[in-house]
Amino acid sequence: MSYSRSPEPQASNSSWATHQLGEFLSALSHFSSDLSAIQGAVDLAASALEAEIGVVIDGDEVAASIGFARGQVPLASVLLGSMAAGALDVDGLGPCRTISVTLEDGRVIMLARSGADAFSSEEANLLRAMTRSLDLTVRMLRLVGDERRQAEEKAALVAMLQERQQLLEKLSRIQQSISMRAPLDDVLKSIVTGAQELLGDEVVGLRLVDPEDPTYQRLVESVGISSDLEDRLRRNRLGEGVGGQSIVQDQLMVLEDYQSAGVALKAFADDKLLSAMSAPIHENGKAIGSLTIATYKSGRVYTKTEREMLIALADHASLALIDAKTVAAMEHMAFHDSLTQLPNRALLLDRLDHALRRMRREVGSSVAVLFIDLDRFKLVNDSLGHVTGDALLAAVAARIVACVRDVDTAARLGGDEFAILIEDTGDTVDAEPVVDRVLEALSAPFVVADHTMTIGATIGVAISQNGREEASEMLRNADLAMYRAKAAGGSGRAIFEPSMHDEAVQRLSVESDLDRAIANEEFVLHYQPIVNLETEAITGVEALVRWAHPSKGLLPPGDFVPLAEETGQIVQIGRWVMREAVRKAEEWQHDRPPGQPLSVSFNVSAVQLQRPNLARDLGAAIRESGIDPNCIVVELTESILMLDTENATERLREFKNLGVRLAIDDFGTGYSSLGYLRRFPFDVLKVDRTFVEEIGPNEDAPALAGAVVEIARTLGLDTVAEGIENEVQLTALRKMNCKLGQGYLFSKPLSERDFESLLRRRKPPVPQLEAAKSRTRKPTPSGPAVGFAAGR
Amino acid sequence: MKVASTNPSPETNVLNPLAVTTSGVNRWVGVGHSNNSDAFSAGAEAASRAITGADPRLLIVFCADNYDLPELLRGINETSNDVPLVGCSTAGEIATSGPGDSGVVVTALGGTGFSVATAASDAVTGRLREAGADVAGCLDQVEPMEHKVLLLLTDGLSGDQQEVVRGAYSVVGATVPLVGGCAGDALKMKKTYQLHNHDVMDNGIVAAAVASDGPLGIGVRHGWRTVGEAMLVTKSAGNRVYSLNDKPALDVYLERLDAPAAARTDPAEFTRFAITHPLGLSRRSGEEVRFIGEANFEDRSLGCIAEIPQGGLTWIMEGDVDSVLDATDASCDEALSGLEGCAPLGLLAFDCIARRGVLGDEGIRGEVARIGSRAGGAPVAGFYTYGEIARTHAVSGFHNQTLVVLAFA
Repeated sequence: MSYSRSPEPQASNSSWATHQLGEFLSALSHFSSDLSAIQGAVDLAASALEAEIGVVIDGDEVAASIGFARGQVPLASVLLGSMAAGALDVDGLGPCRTISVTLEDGRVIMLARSGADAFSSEEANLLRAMTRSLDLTVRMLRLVGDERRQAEEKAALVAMLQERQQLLEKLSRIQQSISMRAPLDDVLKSIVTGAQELLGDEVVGLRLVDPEDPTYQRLVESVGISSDLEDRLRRNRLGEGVGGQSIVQDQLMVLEDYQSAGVALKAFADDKLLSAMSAPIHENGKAIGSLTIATYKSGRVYTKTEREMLIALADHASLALIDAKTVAAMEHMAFHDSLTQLPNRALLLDRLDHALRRMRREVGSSVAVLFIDLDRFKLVNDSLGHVTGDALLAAVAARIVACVRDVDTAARLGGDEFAILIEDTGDTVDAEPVVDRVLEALSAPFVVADHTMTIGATIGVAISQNGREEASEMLRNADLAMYRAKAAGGSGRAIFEPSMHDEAVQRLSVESDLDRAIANEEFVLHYQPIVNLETEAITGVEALVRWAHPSKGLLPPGDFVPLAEETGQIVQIGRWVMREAVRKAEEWQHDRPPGQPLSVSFNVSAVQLQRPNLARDLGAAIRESGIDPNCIVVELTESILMLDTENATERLREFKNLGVRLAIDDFGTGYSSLGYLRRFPFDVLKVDRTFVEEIGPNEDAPALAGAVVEIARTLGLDTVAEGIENEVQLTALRKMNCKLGQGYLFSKPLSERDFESLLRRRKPPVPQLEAAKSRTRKPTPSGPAVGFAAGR
Repeated sequence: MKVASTNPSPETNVLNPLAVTTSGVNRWVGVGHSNNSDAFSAGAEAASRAITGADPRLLIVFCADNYDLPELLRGINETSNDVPLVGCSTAGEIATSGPGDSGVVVTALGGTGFSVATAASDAVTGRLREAGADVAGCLDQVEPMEHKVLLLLTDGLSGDQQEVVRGAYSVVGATVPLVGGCAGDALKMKKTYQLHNHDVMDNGIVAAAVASDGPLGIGVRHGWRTVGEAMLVTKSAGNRVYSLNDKPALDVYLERLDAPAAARTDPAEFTRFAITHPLGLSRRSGEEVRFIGEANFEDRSLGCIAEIPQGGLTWIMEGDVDSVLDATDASCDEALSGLEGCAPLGLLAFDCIARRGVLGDEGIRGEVARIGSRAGGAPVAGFYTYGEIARTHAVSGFHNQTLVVLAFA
């Protein structure tokens, strides 16, 4: 049977523990016998901590339990064993987490809770505070029992009961003030006065270790100390006095003869203080303060009950401090990003709002917002995992912070988006230097978890004209400008202009248009021939996607692929391209002479490569069509390989296992290194058009293109030169021994029908004729390229 | 205490050819309903409609409190041939066909895939924990099947019902969930009835231990949220709250809610008003809701159906139609998700009368239809309760203002 817990514990409810203690203390004061108090306490503790199992172990006996079926309570030894291990396996309930505390009489209370939820330190504190109060109750109930047996002194009995009632009520009130979120000072004050009332000593002091200099302690709350004495005692070295010793030794200190004690504070000794007792106050198990009572009256003896009372009060001070810190932490959490500790969107908007108000109010102030989006963060996060991604974000945050002044606000908006608010005193804000610094800082490589990565950033800037904008509007404007910069290729900047709103609307409409296009398969493939540069015979073809938009006509990839990559729609488009290209490739093989298959290549984007099913889909398409996989060439841009990750290698291996060939596109334009070429299993290297463009009529040594071809030859890769536009380039490439090429010199990308008719016209001659033809070819622009260049 | 355990009766009286058990599954659930004003006939009709298969093992009866209950039981028992029976009076019945008042709804569990034992205890006020433990003992008598649940129907007017849960829990332990509800009396808040075989009690607890070789699922949701500042419970004893923030509890409550004039003087109006304005307690996994049943206009105290501990904090809570219906869906989904992928055979719903107060008569028709559609055609039965029981994790298991759904597969 399975039951889910619901609803899940909520962060906003983190003060539930302090609420529970008030209820517990109230309930405890109503028990009238030792056993009923312990049983009741275990019931209440299990209920408060939502534990299924509660057990009291007395020596080697289970004295009381809840949560086990009648007659099925495990032996004490078994329970003690699982307590030591921190986990208890209950048949039918599954593994449970355990928590335990030991009462002063040696009895052990253990709780066990099913599920993976470990007991938090807040819950451990709660249980500890409950136990301390239970110890007191049990001791008093026993005393009452003893009294009853030894002498039927009714008055003493009543007094004892009243004392207990009084303590619990006092503790409960203190607890309630913690629960009600009374200011910390008030809570500490009520603890100090409570100690004075309950224990009867005139002097009470609460000391805390000085957070600014932990070698000192500070008196933060006191009663019964004259004001001139208080001045002398406000700050002491840690360890001085009984209160200081209680912190250092982390235990209850009792000085019944203060005057002759070595640790006495001189000011108190001079003032003729006679006895003192101090208990430590804890935070996360460490003593961070003390609660001290002291008296000028002689003959003071601190009873065991009184010692326990002081410890219980000190524990309440611990809880109040922890609770106050929790509240402060929650407030911090509400306005800061937990990963980078930067202000979050809410705080940024708040500060922006203030800045804009000030700008409206005061002449000579101006406001700008920078919206920063990381360029390749997603790639890092997807391929190296979110732990590395998080570490990278923290490193990015640190660099951004280093680029701004203290008065500016750097914030993390979420994901890989950051923002900077700049306020200036001049009439215009000069955001440019900050943008420069941030772009420079973020373009330098990051080394995170042994990976070196270069990500870069794109920044949108919005500058307030008159302070009349809404904060959220300013941020949105900066965001729009960032999009514009991103659309222009990223790793740059743009300043917001009102026209960008229209573009954003346009963008949204394209996105939904694309959804429809995917559903209706509104895409077509165009084909650009790849030719043997010697013979100019068509040996292959690159499939290029176009969007046959119902109203806008045929749209080139530049109009929709960048957006589709951003939205992930490229995955569906890419899958269609792949299937269609494979299907056509198979058709065209029928007309090819034996031994001269036509290779078909298509592009796979980084986004697609991240999806695990890519190779599986391609494999299915190949099997369905029955094509020889060697005819398929998958083209990848080198930016995909920027991150040398197991993931990328794995995907490429999957392709290779299908028998297809891999081409690297745009080689040499970005981050490529020879290392990539060696490490990844490429077959074809495409020489980027920018290298081919460099080849002019007067260029004797087209160095880069030649080098790339040479590298490829060394590594045994085929080369395909892209963007060949004229005979000069063709001749030069031939000289370099570049084997294959594509470009407008031969043919622009053609529709399926035009490409098929070209194929028919240019049916490859038998091999021996091809060689002859190549020799007779004249390098005239209108010569053999006529058929290819039609409509260019 | 009376205990009865089932003996699969060899002669089954009604056989319905439609109640086919699918291969390997020998369990069925049927629900029958009658509005007949004659108690005997109503019982007989509802029982015969519920018993849709061979070998019925348990009948669960939810009925209006104004029936001649001994006659109603006679009608059911004569029809079923004394199949073990548990049941209670209600503040409205729920059947597959929809919600209703003044009727009777009978649920039958049958087939060798179910094993059932029942028990009852009367005159429970003042000894709720002991009585809860007593009736839970019937769990020992069911066959050792993989899935078990203890169904409890109690008198919510008898005191702190969490005590009943604690008592039952002390016997069955953490591995067997507890499910059920407090009987109703159409909001009169005077006297509720518990039914066990031939007996009618008015201060009792009845229990049915159900073992099944198919999965069982339980859903619990309330759909209320806290509003305003917390209040400190400065004086309370058990179910009575005397003061909040050191002021008379009733005054603080009426003032905070700006209660209408009628609710400030008329007890019935107060109950109607308070139903949709419960109190909430802060708990580790969220808020626990406490239903306010009545107010004492003399000592200015509030009477709740479960304990409001002194020394704790409490909030006023509110709900609306949307939040209550969201909880309906979530509770059903939670129960169905416990079925480990099996189709439900039937659902039992223990729905707080306060939720009915929010939804209104029209709204509860929609709610029951929602439960029915989530059940995907499986029969649905239940009633509007004065408190719900669902202990699936931790120790506490008594709820207010919630919908508890038990799904059988």
